[in-house]
Amino acid sequence: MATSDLVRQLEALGAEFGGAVVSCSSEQDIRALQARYLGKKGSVSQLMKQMGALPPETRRELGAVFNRVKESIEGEVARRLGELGSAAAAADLQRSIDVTLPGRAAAAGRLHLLTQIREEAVAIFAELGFEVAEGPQIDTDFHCFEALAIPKDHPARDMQDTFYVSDDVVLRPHTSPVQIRVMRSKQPPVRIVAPGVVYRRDDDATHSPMFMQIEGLLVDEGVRFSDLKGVMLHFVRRYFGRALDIRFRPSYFPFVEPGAEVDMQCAFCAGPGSTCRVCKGTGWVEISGAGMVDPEVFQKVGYDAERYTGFAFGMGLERVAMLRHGVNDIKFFYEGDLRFLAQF
Amino acid sequence: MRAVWSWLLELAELEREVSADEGARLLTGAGLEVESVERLGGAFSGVVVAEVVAAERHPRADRLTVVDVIDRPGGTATRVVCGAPNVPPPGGRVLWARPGAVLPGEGGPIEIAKRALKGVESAGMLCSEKELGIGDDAGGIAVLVGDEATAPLGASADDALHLSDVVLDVSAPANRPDTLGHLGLARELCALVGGRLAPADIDLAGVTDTSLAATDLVGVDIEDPEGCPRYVARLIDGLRVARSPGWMRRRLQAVGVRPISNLVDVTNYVLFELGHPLHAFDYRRVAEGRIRVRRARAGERMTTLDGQERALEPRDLLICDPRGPVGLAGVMGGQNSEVADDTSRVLLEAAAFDPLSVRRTARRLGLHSEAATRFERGVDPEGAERASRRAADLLARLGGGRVALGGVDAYPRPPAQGRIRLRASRASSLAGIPITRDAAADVLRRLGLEVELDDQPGGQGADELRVVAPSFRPDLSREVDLIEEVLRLRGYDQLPATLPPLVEGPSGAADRRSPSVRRVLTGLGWSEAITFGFTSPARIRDLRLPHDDPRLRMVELRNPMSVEQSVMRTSLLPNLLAAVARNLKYEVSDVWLFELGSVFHPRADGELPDEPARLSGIACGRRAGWLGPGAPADFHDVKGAVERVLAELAPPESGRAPAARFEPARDVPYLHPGVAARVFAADGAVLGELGEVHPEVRAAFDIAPACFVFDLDLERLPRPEPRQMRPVPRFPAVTRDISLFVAAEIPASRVGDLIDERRDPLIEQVRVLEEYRDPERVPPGQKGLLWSITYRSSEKTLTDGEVDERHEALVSHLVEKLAATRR
Repeated sequence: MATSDLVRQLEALGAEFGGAVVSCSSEQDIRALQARYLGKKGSVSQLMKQMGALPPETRRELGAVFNRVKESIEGEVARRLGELGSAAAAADLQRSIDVTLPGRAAAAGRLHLLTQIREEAVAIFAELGFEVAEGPQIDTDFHCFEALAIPKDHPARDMQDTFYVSDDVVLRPHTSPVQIRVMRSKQPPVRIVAPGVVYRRDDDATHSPMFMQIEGLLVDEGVRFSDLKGVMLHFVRRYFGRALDIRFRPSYFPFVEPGAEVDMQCAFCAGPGSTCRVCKGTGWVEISGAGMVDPEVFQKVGYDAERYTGFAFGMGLERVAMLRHGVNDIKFFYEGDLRFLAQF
Repeated sequence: MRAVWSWLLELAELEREVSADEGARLLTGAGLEVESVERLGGAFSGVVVAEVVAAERHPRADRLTVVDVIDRPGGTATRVVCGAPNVPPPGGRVLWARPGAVLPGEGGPIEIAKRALKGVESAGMLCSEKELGIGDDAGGIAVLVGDEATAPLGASADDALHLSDVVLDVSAPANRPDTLGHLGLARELCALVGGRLAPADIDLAGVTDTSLAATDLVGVDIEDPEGCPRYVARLIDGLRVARSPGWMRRRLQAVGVRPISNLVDVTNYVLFELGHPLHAFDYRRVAEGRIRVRRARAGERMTTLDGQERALEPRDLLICDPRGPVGLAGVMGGQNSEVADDTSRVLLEAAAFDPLSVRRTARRLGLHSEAATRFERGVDPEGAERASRRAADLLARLGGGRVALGGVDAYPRPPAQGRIRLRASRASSLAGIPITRDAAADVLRRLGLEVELDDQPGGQGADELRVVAPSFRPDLSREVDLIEEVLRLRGYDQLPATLPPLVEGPSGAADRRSPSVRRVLTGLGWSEAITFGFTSPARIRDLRLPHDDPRLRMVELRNPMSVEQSVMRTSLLPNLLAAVARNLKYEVSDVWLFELGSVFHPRADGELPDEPARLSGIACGRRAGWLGPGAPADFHDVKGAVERVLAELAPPESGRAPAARFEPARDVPYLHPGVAARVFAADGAVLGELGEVHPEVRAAFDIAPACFVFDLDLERLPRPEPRQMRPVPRFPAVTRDISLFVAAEIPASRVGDLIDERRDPLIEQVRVLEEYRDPERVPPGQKGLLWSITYRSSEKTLTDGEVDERHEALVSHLVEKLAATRR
C-alpha cells in the first residue's frame, strides 16, 4: 500500500472517530469506542502494524501522522468526557429535597442537672485550690454532731431533723462530717470541698428528704473571716457569670463562730422593691450558711485552735440550681422524670 | 418571737427616732432575722371616741337604750339606739360607729347606715370589741377606761386603743434565749442605735402588805439543784379575778396569746416582756404553801393544765407540794393547783430550770409551751427576782391585791461570774480588718456587758480587755464569742472580701471513672437519673431475690417518713424501675436512664454500713428513629452500653474483643433466664449483670413493655489511665469474609475465641456481620454466621496471595473445630 494511502486512511479514521464519539453518551461507550481505534486490535493500531515493512524514512513520516491522529482521538475522548461530566453535574444540580423534614441524630442523653452543677461548683472551687473530699452517707453521731459541737439534746439538733439508723448512726444531715473526717486524718493546711447527698426529715416544695450539699473547709495559719467572704464572692460571680454582690448576715450554727448566712444579690430582678418571686422583693437570696470554724471543733479533732483558724461553708446544690434555672419544685430532681431531666 | 414595736420602744430609750421598718432592718442585719413586719390596726373605719351625754330607756323596748353622744366637746348631741346592757352614765366614753362607718362583719365588711329601731332613728351604733374585731367580748359595748379614756373626743378608735402598732416576727437564734423577750430585743436595739435600756419601774413597796410575811406562808425546798438552780416564790393576797385592761390584752393578742384573766395574763405579759416564764398557783391548792422541786418517781402521774393525764418518768422535774406534783417544772402547771375565778391568794413562781431536763420532758410529751421554749434554751437565773417583782407588782395593781412582805428565794447554784479575755489583735487577725481595743470595748458596753480595761503601763492593756461573763447571754463564754459580737454589731458588711493565698495543687489523682461513664452513656442517648438513697423493702423484694441474697439484708431507718423510704437501697434497680413506670404513666414511652450511686449493706455490729458505688441503667421503648419509629430496644442495646463504658475506661489494645467477657446467666433472679448475661473482667472478677427484666418484676413495678437493664459494680470497673498512642496504619488493609453454618447452640463468642487463639499478628479486626436462622437459608439445627476479618501489616502492603493463604487456613481451622460447613 502506498504511503499516501496509509496517511489518508489514518486521517480518515481520526475524522471518523471524531464523528462517532459525539454520539457516545457514557464514559463506558467512549472507552469502548476508543478501544476500537486505539486498542491492540483497534483499526488505527492495525494500520500501524503494516508500517513495519516500510523504509525507515517513510516510517518516521507515518509515525508523526499516527501520533497526530492518536492525540486527536485522545483529545476527542477528553473533550467528550468533559462534556458528559458537565452535563451530569448540571443534571445533578437539578436535584432538590424537602429540607423541612426533621434532621436525623442519635438520641440525646442528658447529664442530671445536679451533676452538671456539682461539677461546675467543684471546678470553680478548684480554681482556688480546693480539692474534693468524700465521706459516707451513713455516718456516726460523733462525726455528724458531737464533733461539730452539737451534743445530744442540744437545741440545734432541732435545726436538722435527722434520720436515725441506731442511737449512734445516722443518715448524715449535712456534709459537715466530711470536715471532721478530713481534719482527723491530717494536720493543716486543709482546703477541701465535699459535695454529696444528705438527708433530713423534711418534705415540701423546697425541701426533699434527700438533697445535695457542697461543703467547703479551709484551715491554715492566718485564715480570716474576710477570706470566707472573698471565696463566697468568687463562687457567686463565677457561677452566675455576673458581678453580683453578696452580703453576710450574722447567724448561728454551733460549729462556726462567728457564723453567717450568705445572701447573694438577686439575679432575677432589679433589686429591692420589685415583685420578684425569687427574692420576694428584698433584692437578696440566701445561698449558704458559713463561718469561722469554732475552736471547740478544732479541739475535738486535735487542732491547735490558737495557731490555726479556718472557715467552713455549706450550700444546697438544689437551691443554687433552682435559683439559676428557675426550677420551682425540688421534687423534680429525684423522680427520674425525663420530661424534666431532658430539659438540661 | 412576735415583738410589739411600741413595747420595744417603751423598754429602749433610743438616741434617735427609729421606724419599725428600720428597726427590723437593723435587727436582721445583726442576726436577729425579722421574718415579717405586720401592721396592726382595726379592720374598720369611721369609728370614733364619743362621750355619753344622756341615756334613757327606749320608749317602746325595754332592752334598748336611747343614747345621746357627742364627738367634740360642746358639740351637738346625736341620738343612737343601743341594745347593750352596759351603757355608761353621762360622761362615760364609748366607741361610736357613725353612719358610713365600716365594720368587719363575719360575712364581710358591713357599712353602718342610719336606721330606725322601734320608731327611734339611730345614727350609727355603739360598738363592742367583738363587733370591731379586736376582742372576744360581745357582752356589752366597749367602755373606755384608764388611759384609753383620756383619748380626745372624736379621735379614731385605732388611736384611742393604740391599735396602730407594728409587730415584728423575730426569728431568735437557738443560742440567744435573751431575744425571746422584749427586753432582750430592746437591749439589741440600744446597742445598734445607741440608747439606754429602760425597764419598767417596779414599786413593790406601794403594794406590799407588811402584815403578811412571805416566809411565814411559803416554803421552797429544792431537792435537785442541778435541775433547778433558783426558785423565787412570792405571795400576792386579796386578788380579784377580772378582765385585764385593754392595753395588756391587746399586747398579748399582738404577740399571739389569748387573754384569759388578769392573773394569767400578767404571767404571760411578764414572760413576753422579760423573757422569763412565770407560774401562778392558787395558794389554797398548794398544801401548806410548801414547794418542793424534785424528780418524778417511777410510775408517778399527774394531770396538766390542759386536762391531760401524763405518765411521768424519773428524769422529769416536778414542782410538788407535800401531797404530790402540782406542776411539770418549766413545761406546764398542774390542773390541781390552777388559778380559778375565785382565786384570791396566788403563789407566784419565778424560777430557772435545767434546759436539758425541760427539753427532754417537753419533747417526750409534745408540750411546746411558751415557757418550755424559753427554759429549753436557757433562762437567766439572775433574772428570776426581777421577773417575780415585776409580776407581783402588776398582779397587785391589776387585781386589787397586796404583796406579802419579802419573798422566798432558794438559789442553791448561782452561776459563776467568770471573766472573758479579748485580744484586739486576735479579733483583727480573725476578722481581716483592724479592730482596736477601745472600739471593741465600746461595742461590748453598748450590749450591756461589763468591760474592764487594764491601762497600767507595761501590761497587755493596749491589746486586751476583760468582760464579765453576762448571766443573760449564755452564748458568750469565750474570746471568739466576743469577737463575733464586735463584728456583728459593727456589721458584717464592714468586712472586705479577700482571697486566701494560692497553695500547691492537689496531690492525688482524681478518680475519673464517674465522669467518663457519664460522658459515654449520655453520648449513647441515656439520660442520668438521681434517685433517693432509700426505698421500700417491698420494692427490693420485688426483684425476686432468693432468701439468702445479700440484697435482702438492708439498713433500716428508725424514723422513716414513710414505708416507701424506710430502708437504704441495696440495688439501684428498684428506684430506676419506678422511674420507668412513672415515665410510662406520663406517656414518655422511650426511657433510657442510668444512675451512678451508692447502695448500702449492713456490716457487723459497731461498723458503719458498706456503701459501694454501682452503675445501673434501664432501657425501655425504642431507639431514636427517623421519619418513623426506631427499632425497639433489646438486649444488645444494654450490652452495647456496657461495652462502650468498658472500652472507654480501659481501651482494648487492638480492635479485637474488649477486656471483658459476657456469659449467659440463667440465674439472675430479676432477669429473663434466656436473655441475661454476666460480665466478667479479664481477671475473672464479676463486674455485673445485664439482660431483659423478668416479666414478674415488670409486673410488680407496673411496667407493661419489655425493658432491659444493666447493673455494674462501679468499684470494680477499671480506672482510666492516660491513653498511649498506637501507630496510625501506613499500609492498606485487606478484608475477607467467612460465611459458615454452625450448630445453632454454638455462641458467636466461640468463633471469636478460636480466631483470637491463633494470635495472628496480621489480623486487625474481627467482626460478626450477620447471624441468621431462617429455615429457607439454613439447614435444620444450624445457624448461619457471617464474619469479616481485616488483615493489615504495619510493615508492607499485603498481596492478595498472602491474605488468601492465611484466610484459607483460618477458615479451614474454624470448619474443623466447629464442625461447620462453608456456605
